[in-house]
Amino acid sequence: MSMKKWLVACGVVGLLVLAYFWGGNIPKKSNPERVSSIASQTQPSEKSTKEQEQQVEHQTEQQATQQEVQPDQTPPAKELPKDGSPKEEPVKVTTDQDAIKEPAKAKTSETPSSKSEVTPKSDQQKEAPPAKTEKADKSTAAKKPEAKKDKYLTDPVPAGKPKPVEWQDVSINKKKILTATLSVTSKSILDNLDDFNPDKLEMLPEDGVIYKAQKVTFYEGESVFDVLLREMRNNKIHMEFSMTPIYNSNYIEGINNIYEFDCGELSGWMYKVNGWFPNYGSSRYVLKDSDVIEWVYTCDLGRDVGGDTAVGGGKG
Amino acid sequence: MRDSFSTYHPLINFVYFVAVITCNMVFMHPIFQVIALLSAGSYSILLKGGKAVRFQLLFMLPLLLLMATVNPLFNHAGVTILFYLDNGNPITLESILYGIAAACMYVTVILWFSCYNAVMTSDKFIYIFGKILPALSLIFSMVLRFVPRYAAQIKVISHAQKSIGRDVSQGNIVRRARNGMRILSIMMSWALENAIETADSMKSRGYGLPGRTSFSTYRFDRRDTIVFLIMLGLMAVIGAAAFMGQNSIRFFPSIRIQPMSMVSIMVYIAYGFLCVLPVVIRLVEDIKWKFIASKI
Repeated sequence: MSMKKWLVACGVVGLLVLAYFWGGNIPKKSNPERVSSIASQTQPSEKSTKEQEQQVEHQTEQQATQQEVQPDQTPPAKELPKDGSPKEEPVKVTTDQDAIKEPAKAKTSETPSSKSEVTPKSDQQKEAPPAKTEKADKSTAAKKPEAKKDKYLTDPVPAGKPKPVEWQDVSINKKKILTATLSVTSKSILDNLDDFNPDKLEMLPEDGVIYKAQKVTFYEGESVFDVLLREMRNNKIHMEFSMTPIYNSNYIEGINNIYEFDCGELSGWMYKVNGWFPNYGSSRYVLKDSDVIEWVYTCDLGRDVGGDTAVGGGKG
Repeated sequence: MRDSFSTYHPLINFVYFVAVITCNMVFMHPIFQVIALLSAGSYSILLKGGKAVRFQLLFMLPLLLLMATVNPLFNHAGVTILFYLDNGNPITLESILYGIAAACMYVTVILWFSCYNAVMTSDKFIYIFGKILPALSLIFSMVLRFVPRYAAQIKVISHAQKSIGRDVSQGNIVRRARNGMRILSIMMSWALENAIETADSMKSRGYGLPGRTSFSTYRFDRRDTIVFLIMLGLMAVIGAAAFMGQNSIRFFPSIRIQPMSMVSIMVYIAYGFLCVLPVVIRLVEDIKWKFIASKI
C-alpha cells in the first residue's frame, strides 16, 4: 500500500516536472543573456563615473546615479560616509524607498531602465560636466515630491513628460480641433511567428501594419484612448477594451482580433506618444497638438519594442 | 410503459451516456449540437412525459436564451462587427453564434443527465462499480439519491403533520413558521437515524468485504451484444471523424468549419443514430408490442 502511494507521488512529481519543461514555464534563455549583457554595459559606465568623481565637485548627483544603477547590489559603502553634504540624505532615502516599493519590478525590468538612464549621462560627462550637473539637479529636485506611486499605482513620471490626468475630470472642448498622428502596428509578431496563435494568422497583415500612420483629428482634451476608439470604429477595425478601475484606465485587450496573450504569455498591446511609452493607461494621457501616437504589439512585455520602462505597474 | 433501453445491461446504459455526454461536451459543431439537443429532448420527454415538457419550456428554454444573449455582452471577439455597444465595444456575429452554441451544449448536457438519472438507477451503478470501488460507488449513489429521497420524506412527514393540524399550510404566519421548523427538525432526526441504520445494515451484510457475492438480475445476452457492437462501431466512426477534424468548429476570430462532404454527412448520420439509439430502441419495442397485442 505504502509502496503504491510512493509510486503515485513520484508519478505526480514527474508529471509536474515534465509539464514545467514542456509547457514553457521554464525561463527563456534569451532573457538572462539580455540581462547579463545589460549588466556588463552598466559596469564600464559606472567605472567612468568613479574616475571622474574626483574632477566633478557635485558628488551628490553621482551618488544618485550609482544607486540607480545598482539598487539591489552591494551599495558603495566606502563612498557613503565620504560626502557630508546635507542635501544628499533625503535623496538617498527616496531612492531606497523606490527600491523597496517596487518589488514587483523584477530585476530584469529594473536593470534595463537603469541602463537607459545611465548611458546618456555618461555621454554627457564626456563632453561637458557642468551642463550635466545642472540637469541632474533638476532631476533630483523633481524626484523628491513625486517619489511615491499615485493612487492608481502609477510610478513617478519622468521629468519633462506629461503627467497622467483622470479622464473623469477632463472636459472636452469640441470647438478646438487638433491633429495627431496615429498608427497601429504588430510588427513584433513577425519575428515571433512560431509563438503566434495559428488561428489568428489570417488577421495578421503581411507587413504587420494594421493602421498606417496618418493624421487624425481630435478635440482638445481627448485622450489617446478616445482617439484610438474613434479611428478604429471609423475604419471598421475590430477592437476590444475593458475598464480597469484600479488603474482608472481602459485596457486594450485586442485590436483587429489580435488579442493579448495571442503571441506568448508576455504579449499584448502597448502605446507610445512621441516615442515614449507612458507608464500609465491610455485613458489618462491627454493629447496635445501634433502628438505622434503609436500602438505597438509586444511579444515580450515591451522589451522587444523598447517599452520596458513602462511595464512596472501601468498598463497600456 | 417501461423504457426498454433501461432494461438493457447496465454497462451498455453507462457506456452510452458517457459516450454521448462526452461527445456533446467536446464537439461544438452546430449540426452535432442540434442533433444532440433534439435527441436528448425527445428522449427525456419519452422517459418522463409531460413533466419533461414543462421542465424544458419553463427552465431550459429561458436558460438557453439567457446564456446566448449574455455571451456577446462580455465577449467582443470576432471579425464580423454587427453594431457597437454604448461604451464602444463591438457586438460581433461570432460571439453571438458562440453564445448560442455554448448555451445549446449546456442545456443538452443537463437534458442528458436528466435522462441518465432516470435510466441509471443506483442499483445499476453499484452493480457496475461495486466490485471495483465499493465505498465510492456507494457514496455516489447515495449522494445522487439525497435530494429526491429527502423531498419524498418531507412530503410524508408533512402529510402526517397535516392530519393533526400542524402543517405549514395551517394557522397564522407565526404558527406556520413554527410548524415548518418542526417538520425540518423531524426530518433532520430521521435523516441522522436513517444514516446510522443504513451504515449498520450495510456493515452487518458485509458490504465490500472480499469474497462477498451479490445477487443481480442483469445478464449480458445477445441483444446486449448487438447493441454494444453497434454503439462501438458508431463511436469508432465519430472518433475517426474527430481525429480528422470533421466535428470541430473554430469560432474566433472567424468561423471556420470543415466543408460538408460525403464523409461529413456520413459522420452526421452516425452521430445522429448514436444519439437517437435509445429512442429508436424504445419505439421499435413499442411497435412490436402493439403488433403482438393486436394479433390476440
